[in-house]
Amino acid sequence: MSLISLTNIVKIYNTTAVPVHAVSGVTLAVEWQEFTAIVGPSGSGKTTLLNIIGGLDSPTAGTVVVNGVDISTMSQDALINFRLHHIGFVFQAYNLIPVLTAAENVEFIMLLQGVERRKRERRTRELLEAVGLVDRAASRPSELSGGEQQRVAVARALASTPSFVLADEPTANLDTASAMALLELMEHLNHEHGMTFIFSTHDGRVIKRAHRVITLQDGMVTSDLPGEGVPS
Amino acid sequence: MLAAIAWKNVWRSKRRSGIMIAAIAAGLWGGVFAVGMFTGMYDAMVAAAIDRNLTHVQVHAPGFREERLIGLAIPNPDSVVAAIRSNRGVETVSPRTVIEAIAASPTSTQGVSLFGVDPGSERAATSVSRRMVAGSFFEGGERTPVVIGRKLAEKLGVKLRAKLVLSFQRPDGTIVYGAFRIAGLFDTEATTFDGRTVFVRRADLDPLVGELLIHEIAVRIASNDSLEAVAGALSSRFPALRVETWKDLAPELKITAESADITMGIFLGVILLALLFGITNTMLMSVLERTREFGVLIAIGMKRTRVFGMILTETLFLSLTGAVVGVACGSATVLWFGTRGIDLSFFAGGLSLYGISSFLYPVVHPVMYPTVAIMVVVAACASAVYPGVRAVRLRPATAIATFG
Repeated sequence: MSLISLTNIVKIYNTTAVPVHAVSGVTLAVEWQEFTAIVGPSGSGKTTLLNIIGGLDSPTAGTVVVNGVDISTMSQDALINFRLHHIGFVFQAYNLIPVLTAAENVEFIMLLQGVERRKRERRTRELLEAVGLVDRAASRPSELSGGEQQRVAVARALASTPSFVLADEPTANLDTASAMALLELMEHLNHEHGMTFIFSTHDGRVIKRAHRVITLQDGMVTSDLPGEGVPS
Repeated sequence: MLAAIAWKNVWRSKRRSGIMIAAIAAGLWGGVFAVGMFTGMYDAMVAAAIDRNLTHVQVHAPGFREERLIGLAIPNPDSVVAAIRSNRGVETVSPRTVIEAIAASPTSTQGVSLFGVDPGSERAATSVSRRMVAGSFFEGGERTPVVIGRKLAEKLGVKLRAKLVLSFQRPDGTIVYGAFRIAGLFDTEATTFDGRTVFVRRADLDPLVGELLIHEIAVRIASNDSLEAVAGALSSRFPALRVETWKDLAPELKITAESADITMGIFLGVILLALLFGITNTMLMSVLERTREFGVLIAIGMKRTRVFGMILTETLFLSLTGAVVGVACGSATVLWFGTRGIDLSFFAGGLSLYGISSFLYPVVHPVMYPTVAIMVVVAACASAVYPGVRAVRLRPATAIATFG
């Protein structure tokens, strides 16, 4: 059974006078431990597709099965709970909670899961060590560089021990060095811990490292090819 | 941790939160002070009435208060007075002869309430002896002295040491006249009382009445807290007499005192209602500014009830901080003026109609604090509803795409 299975996904936005077909009949499957890039020009439907996979948006038609569960028919409250336990998110703009320190940002999601305090603290430290930021644990997001913030975001995404991590253009706001460092971190987590990553990007540096590259255009998959990266 | 986040969120926009906290504090400061003023006024009105003539408890023969007939006297008054004096909680007792009489001066006549009193007992039980503006309360050596209110003296056109003739109907129906000399003029805060009250010594009145008649036993107790207990004990002991507290004797005072709390509650409620809109606006701005953040929180798995709870907690922190500051400042102001008093002599004429002193001592009853706390919490919760609903209705994908 695939980790993620999309069948004939359609997403139409009716917010304007003319309906916008953001995704038009996408069918694909993502296996465990993949390191997959969804690429395409702006407006091709990358983010919409990621949102549908992550349960942040519901498809107009089609089914989304994640880890054997059809999430396309779930209620909003059930989806929140599903995301909390199964999906890690990394956003383009980092989106850390500004009033919390790096450690607290990582710990927060475990708090939502009801993990007991000692376990939370131990795992937070492990994750910050994994992303190389243990010495910045007490820093607030405003005191961290963009690259550091994004690494904290990755640690936060992993904190809930998700089935996979969705990253929407994770390197878009980063300089080359930070982007490469982040990619290496994600690759390392994929290789060493078997964490599945699905990310949207049009950054050539990222595409080169992907094991699988799915290209979207006008909401449709135009190609689905092995990438240049080394599979785990 | 959620409470900690909420507290930190309150201080994200220090200026905005500071202004809102200052507004809440200022509103409650003014509110508490105004409540203190009104409460002080009502308390003073009740205390003045008790001190002036009412005392805490009065004992009468049944029907006397309604009929005011001279024959409706208390049987065996000496033994009743002695029994009341021995009662626990009783401070002083003043037996009175009370007669509806006519006071006549060379130029005028007035209907008056004539009180035959034992000066020592009356001095201990009421404050009239301390409100003398001329002469004294039976401390001089005059023969047949009478003490009247300054207002009555003005109506009768008499001054200190002037002669006053008092006439009334005796129990046998005959009219008796007695000549008295004005030995003292009093001036209390109650113009009605001053305009129709006359005190004479019982020793001078009894021969005119022709017999010893006590119509009223005024009882002053050590503490108003034991009012009902003392009244209950006296009622049980003298089932044939009517034992009434000041609340029964002056129901308008009781209603005033009770309605004061309701009035103050409404007054504070109006202040908080006005603040409610300000708090709602502040929280709404805070929520709108953090649209993306709330989108992220919902995306990563924060339940909507928790999001709402966080906004509610932020609102409570904001409101309670302002409330603590406002109530503290208000209480301190009340305390400061409560010991020094506020001179309202400019309004003395109007205040005296209601029996209120022109010097006001604000006071806040302890019950006000939990009342304010509950009202602030309710106002805060109400303020949080709209911003909270806005936040929980956010769709994460749309909210995250928001710039901010």
